[in-house]
Amino acid sequence: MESETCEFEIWIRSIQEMCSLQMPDEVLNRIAQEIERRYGAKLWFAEILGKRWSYIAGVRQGSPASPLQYIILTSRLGMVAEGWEQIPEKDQIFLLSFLRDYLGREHTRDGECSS
Amino acid sequence: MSQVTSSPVKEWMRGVIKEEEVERYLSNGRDFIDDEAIETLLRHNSRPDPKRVQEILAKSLNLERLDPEETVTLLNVEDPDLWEEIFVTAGEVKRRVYGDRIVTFAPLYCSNYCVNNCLYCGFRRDNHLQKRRQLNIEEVRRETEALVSLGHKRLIMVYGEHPLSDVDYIAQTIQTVYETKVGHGEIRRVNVNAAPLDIARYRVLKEVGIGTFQVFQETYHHETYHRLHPSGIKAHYRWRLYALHRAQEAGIDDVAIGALFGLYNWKFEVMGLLYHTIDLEKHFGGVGPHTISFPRLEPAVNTPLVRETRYRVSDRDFKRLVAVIRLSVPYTGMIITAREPAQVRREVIPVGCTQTDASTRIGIGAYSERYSEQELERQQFEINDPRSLDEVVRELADMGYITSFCTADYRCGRTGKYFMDITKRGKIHHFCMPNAILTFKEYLLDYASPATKETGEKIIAQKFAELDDQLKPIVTGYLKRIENGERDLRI
Repeated sequence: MESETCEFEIWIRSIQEMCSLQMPDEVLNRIAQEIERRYGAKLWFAEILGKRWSYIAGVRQGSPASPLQYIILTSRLGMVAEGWEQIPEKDQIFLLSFLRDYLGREHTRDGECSS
Repeated sequence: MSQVTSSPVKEWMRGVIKEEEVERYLSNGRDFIDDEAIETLLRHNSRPDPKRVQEILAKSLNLERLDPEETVTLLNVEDPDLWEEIFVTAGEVKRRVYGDRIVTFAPLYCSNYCVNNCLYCGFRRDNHLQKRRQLNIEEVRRETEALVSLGHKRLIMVYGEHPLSDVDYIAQTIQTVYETKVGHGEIRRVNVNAAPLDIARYRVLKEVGIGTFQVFQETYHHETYHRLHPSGIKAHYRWRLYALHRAQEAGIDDVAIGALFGLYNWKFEVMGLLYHTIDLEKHFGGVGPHTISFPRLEPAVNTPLVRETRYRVSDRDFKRLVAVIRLSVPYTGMIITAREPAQVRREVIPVGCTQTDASTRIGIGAYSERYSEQELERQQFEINDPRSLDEVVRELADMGYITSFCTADYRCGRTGKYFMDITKRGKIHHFCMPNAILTFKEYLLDYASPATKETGEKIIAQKFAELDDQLKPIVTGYLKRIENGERDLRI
């Protein structure tokens, strides 16, 4: 488990280079795909507009039988997670920290939603 | 501000249309409606071979969008037996995608000031018999309270095109609706039917969290369009035609199209709707309209054109066009409204409709002021089915449909591309039906009459029994929580 977590952190750091080269939704798609591959959890990302969570990127194959978790990443962006509990807690913390930092920077850079 | 085009109004009108926001979508300078090509297709595909029709029906059952030639083939069927097969297949397609559920909503008309002069519309600028009014924010709140108290959770808000009802007014009214609560009741999704906007203004509406933005082309036939819209901003065919392209570009990923049947040949308009769908999907990664509407011309005060039209659509042809639209775009929502009498809705809902309204009042201020008769001088047209939500819900249950007040997709991030993907794969009903059960349960507990409760519980039991086994424990748990007073649970 310890080596898996280190490996996950290494993987996240590796995509930080990609972040400057690719569009945010492509980065988020990569992250969602990797999380599903590693842990079976499904993530998708949305722009928060009042009651509306408007899809930006991520897995598009949610299951109605699985409860969802809504995680606010920034004031404008959220993540919907199915099977969040399947991700080890340390990786959850690391992932959220990375996403909040990355998306916070993207939001500031563009002056509007990074999608 | 004067209804007549005074200088400030004219000044405002000059700033509305942005030609560059039309040209970017054209193909070699042309829009996607080729009148001559459509008319030629319609002429040359008459009396289709039944085998060909059956191949096309099989394609629809596979939830694939039809090509224009295939839609024309269906439109030109004359054999009554083949039409019965078309109707049955259309109903099956709808069931496969959405299940036996009908979403319900109410229209809320906020303003009938208008700078346009559409010859068929009671709101047209030169109709001096129309009493002009715009709801202020307090009045919007009162209208919303009245609607929430009936049990509605979804609205379509409607506005004339005028500087008084500019995007800031629209945004403010939407926010007011979302903020208004009465006990357990609230509006959870606001859709908008308003004039085409530029991209920057669509972004303003996106910010307040609208559901769907809806613009009807009225007629796709160029020459007819120009004749019926002689002046005003609406005279610009392409500004209207590409309204929803601009909305999508602004990030509003649920858009809705429609045509007003009775202005021109109904078969041509069905083709227009198909081409519109195709072009939206082409430009936006497969994301076409969230819904398609097909209102028929109805009488309105001081609008002789409505009585004189030679393109009036019979009830028989109306059912046919609805079925063909369903088969042509198997995965898109389809709305039939209270313009239609109850008997027509009963007949047509089964061939593909997914949404309908009820307890409908379209006069400005009509819900809270509760005038008992329709007042045509306050309305855009006449309503033929004024029945209450409770009555319509009960009838739908008797017909085997569960009424849904669901707003889950737009709250869970299943919008735009995500929504289209699941729907095109025929999987959306796995979400639709449980959410229909949950929201219908809320309605029965909070608003339904005893008779509707009794019928409603039966349809819940029936639809629950049909759910996948893995969903039953979740829905059972949620139903218990709703019975214990929780609300707004969703899957």
